[in-house]
Amino acid sequence: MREKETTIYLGPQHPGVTGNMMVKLKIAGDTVLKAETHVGYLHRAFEKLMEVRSWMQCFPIVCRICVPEPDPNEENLARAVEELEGREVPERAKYIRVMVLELARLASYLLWMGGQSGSAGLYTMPQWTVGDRDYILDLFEELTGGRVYHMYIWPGGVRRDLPEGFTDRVLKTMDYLEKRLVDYDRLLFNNAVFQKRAMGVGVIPKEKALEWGVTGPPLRGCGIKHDVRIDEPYEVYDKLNFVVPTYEGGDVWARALVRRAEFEQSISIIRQAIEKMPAGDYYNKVPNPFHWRVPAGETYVKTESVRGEFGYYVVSDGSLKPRRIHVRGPAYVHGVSLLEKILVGANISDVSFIMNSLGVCPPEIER
Amino acid sequence: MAIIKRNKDLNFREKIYIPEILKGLMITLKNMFKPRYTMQYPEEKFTPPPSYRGRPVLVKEKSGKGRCVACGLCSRVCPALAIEVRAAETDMEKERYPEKFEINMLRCIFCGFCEEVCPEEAIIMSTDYELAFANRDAGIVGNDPLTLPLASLEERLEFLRKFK
Repeated sequence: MREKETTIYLGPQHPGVTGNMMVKLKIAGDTVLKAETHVGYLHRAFEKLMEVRSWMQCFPIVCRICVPEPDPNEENLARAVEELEGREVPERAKYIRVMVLELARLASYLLWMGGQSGSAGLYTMPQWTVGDRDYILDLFEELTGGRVYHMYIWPGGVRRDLPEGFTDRVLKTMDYLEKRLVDYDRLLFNNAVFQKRAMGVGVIPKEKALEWGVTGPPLRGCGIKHDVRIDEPYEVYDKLNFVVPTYEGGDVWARALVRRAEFEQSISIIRQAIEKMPAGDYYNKVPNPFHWRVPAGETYVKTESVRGEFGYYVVSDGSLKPRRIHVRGPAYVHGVSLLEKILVGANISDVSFIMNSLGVCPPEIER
Repeated sequence: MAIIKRNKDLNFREKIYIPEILKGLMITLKNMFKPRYTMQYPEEKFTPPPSYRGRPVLVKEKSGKGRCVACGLCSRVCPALAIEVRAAETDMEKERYPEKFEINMLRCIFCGFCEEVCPEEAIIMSTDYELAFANRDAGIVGNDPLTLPLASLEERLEFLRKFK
């Protein structure tokens, strides 16, 4: 029987990933012939909004750019402002920042594990990982006061010092997560169904990966070692010991292995950061936020987030408000242009599976 | 790293499914006796830590007077433009007081900036997290329901003195 060409719309309500975007698929039978991404359902005009807010008021806005992992945004803006101002950050604050960033990375990986297996039809894993993620959110709640939007990393340091006995609770949670990783292996990574689904699906060709602007775990899954934490270390990453795992293949399976290996690395980074954390000041106070003028200039700072390289281009004209803040989100590259290219020829049931493995995050695509 | 690569084709034992299903059911049985993640919420209340940023409230002194002097800094710093203050004056020792103090809870984003700038420790983030209301008008909270007695907010004030 000749298969008829059909057009179907995946989305815009949560097409297998958190957030609203749509993929228009032209299919014949079960095979995708052409994919077209449509975004615009979550546009909140944050970049424009920040031009009419004072520098301090931008911080509650930037963390809303990415819901599963808000801290790289705060870190980026804080570091950009510090660079423009030449403000010193106390050593303790740098270690606290690294700890918070890695905790956010763990929380985000747990959410990813759930999404990845959920889109493969394995629904036990999301229940477990979301439950375990809650332990990390509990830590955030105690440290920063918010479960999801922390508003914790500020120019000049961090907003509050660690509460009493907090590091012990972090270490306890890390021990627990390490123990849970054995269960995750048994349930997901050693699962024949998952392996069969993941191997050879959604392949990014190695020679094209850099050309297409792929970063983060998808790039490391192609066998290219690139990580902002190693290449251009920020905060205190150059003082900590960790490896950047790479796997060959460029398929969903390789990306899953990269993320799993990074999960272990993050736990080790948090342990080292807590061990090496010096005592002392945690905040180098900024002047009165109502009269706080950041010197004119422009800068580009970047951070390694779970999805890839997160960059902020910040321009100041020396006034109370930023002139322009441009966000370079990894999900924009992965979720809009890359997705269209690698979905061609895929099975229709693999579409949301591939989207999850690329770490597509619609709130971050649109800002 | 303990990842076992499986064959793509299932062997006979895996194909008849029954042992695999029993294996899965054993895990389910084990998990029935493990501690729970969840709590029985409406019956069992959650007590947030003092660092928690809940509903912003005004502090009332033991004498019954409000602490707020209606300087308007909170409404100026609010990134969501949720606070509206109108000042009035009296002949008493503390001259200024807010004639109108409104927080639009539909706009509030719980950043805690109002609390950070307040010179009088008058507006603070309470640990109140039950914020549902039935209509939009109820979302705009005025002077009276906002003001809470000092005794119920001691823990947060203690925390602020330590870290602010």
